[in-house]
Amino acid sequence: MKQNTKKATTDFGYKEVPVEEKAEHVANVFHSVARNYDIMNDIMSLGSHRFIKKFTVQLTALRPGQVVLDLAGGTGDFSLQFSPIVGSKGQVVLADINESMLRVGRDRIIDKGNLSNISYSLVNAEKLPFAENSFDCVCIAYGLRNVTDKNAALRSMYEVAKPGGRVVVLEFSKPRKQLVSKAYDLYSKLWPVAGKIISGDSESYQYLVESIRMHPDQETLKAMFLDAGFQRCEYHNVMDGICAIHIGYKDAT
Amino acid sequence: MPLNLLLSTALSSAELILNKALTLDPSSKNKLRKLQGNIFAINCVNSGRSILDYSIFITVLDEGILLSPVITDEANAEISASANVLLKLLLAKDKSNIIRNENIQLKGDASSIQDLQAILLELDIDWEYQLSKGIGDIPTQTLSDGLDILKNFISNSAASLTTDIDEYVHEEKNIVPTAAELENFFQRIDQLRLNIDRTESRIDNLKRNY
Ligand SMILES: C[S@@+](CC[C@H](N)C(=O)[O-])C[C@H]1O[C@@H](n2cnc3c(N)ncnc32)[C@H](O)[C@@H]1O
Repeated sequence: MKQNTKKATTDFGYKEVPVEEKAEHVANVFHSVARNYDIMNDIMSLGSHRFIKKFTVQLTALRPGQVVLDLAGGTGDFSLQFSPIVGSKGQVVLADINESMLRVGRDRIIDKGNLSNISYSLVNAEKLPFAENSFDCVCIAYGLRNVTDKNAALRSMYEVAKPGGRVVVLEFSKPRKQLVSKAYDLYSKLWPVAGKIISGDSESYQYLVESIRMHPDQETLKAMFLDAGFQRCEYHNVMDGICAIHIGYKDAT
Repeated sequence: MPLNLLLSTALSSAELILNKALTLDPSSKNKLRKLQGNIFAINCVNSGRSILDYSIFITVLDEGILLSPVITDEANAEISASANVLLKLLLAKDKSNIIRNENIQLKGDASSIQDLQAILLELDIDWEYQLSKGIGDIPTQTLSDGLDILKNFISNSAASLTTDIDEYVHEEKNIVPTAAELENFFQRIDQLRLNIDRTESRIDNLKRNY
């Protein structure tokens, strides 16, 4: 049998890169945009990212005393909101693959003080280093599209969720109305230009545009949830589907 | 009803207002501590219109409260009433009168729900003022999505409130609202409508300028 000598590749935006290099490329993007991260978020979500994040927090349906994983948590926006909800009897784990994002997150959280229920973990979402059945909720926001093997990540999240627990994914998605889709497409063409002006870096923003377009649409991601073992899955469109929030449950057996 | 960004944002705004009021009122905050960990459901029911059938959940945290459109487990206590009774409860100055006279169902731990009620009443928040002030903070995209819902909501509530009032007049002659009260109420509804129309044209303007 003829061995395939071509290296396995994966998408990095529209480019194909060797599988083992994607993580590194993604890391570079986030090293580069970390400082202007909030501005970038505002641009990409039409100024609504705070509201969309809050909606996502509500959909995690956390209650006091629960344990939650803020996966690909970056600079800690979600951890900051989870912390007062789960309270002193609960626990938040802020986890990211990128050390500088995690460091910015930890500094921010320490600045706010009195958030002793948050801990930090350097992880790859594809192979989470936590025990099975650890979390009442795993939340990954604007993170999944950067992960090389999304199916592995979903399986890994399923594994670390407790029976009766749930996984919540916030991600850019596909607008339902053609008009919105066209307008948003057009609009996103401007980001690299904006990125160039704001941070002198258009390539990273070009990657963000492309990674959003390559990300699976609502129904595809839902099917991936079911493949990963989730028993129930639903999604909520935000702003006509520019973003979508998927929720999958690991039912207690 | 389908969850959406506007409702979510409305809830977070209300949550912000409540928590702010709580920090300004340490005695209420103290009383709230006793309810820590409790989850209360407010169910809007019997409206017959899907847009008005929904639940809001209040979770009492270590510090302050959380408002949410969903929970995973059961609430400790529930309060259910029709949309217009809840609306009246929110807007009326004399809330105890409404609680005594209207059709409101309680389920679960009744004493803790009464405690919560007492605390929230004591905070005495002017929701109307807060609403008119808060609308400026909601992003335009979200607003234009939600404007129709809001319009519907207001005309529906106003319509059913009118029928309600008619019924009182016929059935319970002793609680006929005075003409001035009615006038006042409808003026406020009109004002709210006006505000929405104004916001709408503001959004159109913004859209044109972008
Ligand atoms: C756009 S940020 C989102 C941060 C945060 N969740 C928020 O919404 O503010 C994406 C994050 O995903 C992280 N990330 C990318 N690939 C990852 C992986 N395989 N495992 C864990 N985190 C990853 C990046 O380092 C980055 O911090």
